[in-house]
Amino acid sequence: MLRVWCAVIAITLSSLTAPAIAAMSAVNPALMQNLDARPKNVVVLPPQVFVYELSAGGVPTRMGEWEALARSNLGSAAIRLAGEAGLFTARPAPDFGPEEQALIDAHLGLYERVAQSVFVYGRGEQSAWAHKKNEFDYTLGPGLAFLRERTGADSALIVLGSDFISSDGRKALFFAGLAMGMIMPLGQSFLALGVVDLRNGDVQWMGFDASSRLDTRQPEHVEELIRTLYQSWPGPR
Amino acid sequence: MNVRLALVALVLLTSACAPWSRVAPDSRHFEKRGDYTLEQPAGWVRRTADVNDLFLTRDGPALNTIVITRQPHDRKLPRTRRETRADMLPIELAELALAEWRSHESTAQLEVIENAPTLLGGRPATRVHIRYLNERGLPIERVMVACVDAKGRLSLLYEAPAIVYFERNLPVFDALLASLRFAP
Amino acid sequence: MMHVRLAGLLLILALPAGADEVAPWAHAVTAGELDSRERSLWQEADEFDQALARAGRVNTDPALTAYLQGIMDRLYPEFSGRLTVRLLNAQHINAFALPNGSIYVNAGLVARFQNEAQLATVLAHEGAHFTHRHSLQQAERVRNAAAFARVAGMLGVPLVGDLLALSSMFGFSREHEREADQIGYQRLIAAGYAPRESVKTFEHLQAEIRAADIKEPFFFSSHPKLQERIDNFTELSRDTDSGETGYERFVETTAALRLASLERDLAAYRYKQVILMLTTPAARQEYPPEAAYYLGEAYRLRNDAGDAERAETEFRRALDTAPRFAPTHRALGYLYFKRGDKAAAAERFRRYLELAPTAADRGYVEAALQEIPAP
Repeated sequence: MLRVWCAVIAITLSSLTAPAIAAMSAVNPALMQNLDARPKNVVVLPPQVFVYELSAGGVPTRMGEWEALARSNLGSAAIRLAGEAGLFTARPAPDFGPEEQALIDAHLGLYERVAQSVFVYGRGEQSAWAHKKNEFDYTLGPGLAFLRERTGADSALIVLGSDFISSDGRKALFFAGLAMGMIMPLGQSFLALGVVDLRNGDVQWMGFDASSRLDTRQPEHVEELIRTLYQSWPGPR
Repeated sequence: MNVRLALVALVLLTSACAPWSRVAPDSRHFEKRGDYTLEQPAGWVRRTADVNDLFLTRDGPALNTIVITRQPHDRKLPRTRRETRADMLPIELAELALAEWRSHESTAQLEVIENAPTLLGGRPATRVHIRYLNERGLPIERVMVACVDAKGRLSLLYEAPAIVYFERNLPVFDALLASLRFAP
Repeated sequence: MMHVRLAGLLLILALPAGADEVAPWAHAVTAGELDSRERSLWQEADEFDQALARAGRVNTDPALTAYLQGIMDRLYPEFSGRLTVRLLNAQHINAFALPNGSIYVNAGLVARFQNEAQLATVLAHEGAHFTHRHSLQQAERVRNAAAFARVAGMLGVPLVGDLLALSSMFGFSREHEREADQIGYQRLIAAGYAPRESVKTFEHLQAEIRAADIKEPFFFSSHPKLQERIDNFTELSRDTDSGETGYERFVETTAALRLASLERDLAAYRYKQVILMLTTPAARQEYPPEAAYYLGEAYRLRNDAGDAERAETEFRRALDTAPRFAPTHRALGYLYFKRGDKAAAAERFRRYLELAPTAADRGYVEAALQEIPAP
């Protein structure tokens, strides 16, 4: 019994020290079949990531400063690593006026539903949904086409997600619980990155991460995440 | 909402997903014995374990759903706590549906796009089309066609985001409606 | 061994997380003056403001908004620019304060009152939640209470007393609500409002809750019970007879909102509330003649014994006093139609369509007319 507990604690400790990225992706088969259509210029919309601290009691509190850090980390990593990997030239988005922003917000609301649907169904992992992998017609529609002229980009990269980070109290409780034979969940993050064709809104590629140890406040965590996700970008570099 | 996205992901990663089956072109026919038949849209996916008569989606429930529900009159509606009656006029049925939706937080600020009498399987029915905004400012549209008879109330509902998805599959919903036949 | 572990865990969780009393604001603070905990709360509140606006929940009528803001600025002049009042397109009797000074009042709540002083009572109360930083205090309490609950639950130790403080996990605690009542009352007097009206504010709310036969709503669940508040305010205002009610200003500014509120209540089948409003003589006198139609509709929807007759009486009253108000003709048309008096129904339906040729429900009325044989 003691050896079992040591093993459990060792595994848990090791998972606490290194981010465990659970990366998944979906690629539009139309893009796979016509790699020349891959975007060359991509505008990165400001990441919309909500970062919470999970208290010992499991109460999430949004942390504004952590969010600013997470958004900055994600945005800059997405831009820099795309260039380093030779995927496309990525640029940050300009400031938008209220009407443009309202239109973008509505489309981000749609993107959220599209991302959820692609993650659960569109990757074709359930047998009844296997067809979606090839019949992949998820789209935001042409409503964001104005961004082509506005930014010179062919496509937009959109980042949405949540990161729940355990407080020190919660981590202490985790260990205490472990010693008493109880496992309580630590933090969890979920991120969806997607590239959409600005002409028609078609989803070209999506990458997802659902991991328990990613901390979006840490630049090196975020870099490793983006690098891993970008590996599923179709075609040669 | 991003919390919701994360929670959906968590639930689905860690638990068994609802069983689904795809509607094949040669198995579109659906019969609720002694009540009605209709033709399901080929290629859509049906949730097989569902409390409704039919729950269908093409791309995932967040992007489009068709839900068909038959309930007895004495099953009170959840918000208004009202029962339906077999002799209700279509306009009364519409009024009740709208009251139910207006009593729900997410649809309280709905806008009525259309509210008109129609026929369902040859019987007088109501067709109500609304739009509402979700918390992200995404407009969602919903069409309900419903009627009452001795068995209770029957409603067929189609909902999808107004951007792209609603118009895309409205003809599919209308075709399903047109295919409905009541048992003699 | 178990006791040692329990003590150890509770020690971890008992580390103070800033649950001390905090000093109230003395002026209109800016976000830059906050520590990181409170800044996070304010940021979340800012985003909630944006989300409400994006979802179309906020009533943007400039005259109404300016009116409400004027009352708040009169109550809290030193917080002008920080305490921001917005009207929500919602019918439930509710108002709430966010940590960043955003105060929201539901249209349904405003429509319940008879004068400005009664409305000011609510605004004064909500303003106090902001000035006394109740959100910050509550956030810490919730985190610690949840932690204790978690630990105790994990170890199978039954909770004693009100450690959980469940009521504090939703809205403000009873202590904060009492404090807001007291501070709000002082603000009401300082602004020159008639303090006696504060009693009527809660009497109106109590009457509505009883009429609608609902438990004191969620908004009130952590509040001192309404009767307690009525008693407190009655005691406080016992020897006061001064101050203004702002009656005429209120009636004029809120006329359209109150009528729209009747429509929205009916559309959501909140007919009990409509009956309460329109059978109270003091309230009824402030509505136009067509209000009889709304009362008739409320009776129709309630459908108790005798309500069909009451509905017809009210529809006829509306017909006499506001003959060009189209919905009355439709309502009578359906009443006669269901009674089998098709000729009378047809006459009413045709008049309805003459008065409202572009009515959205024209299709239903035409379908009904088609069922009526021509004379």
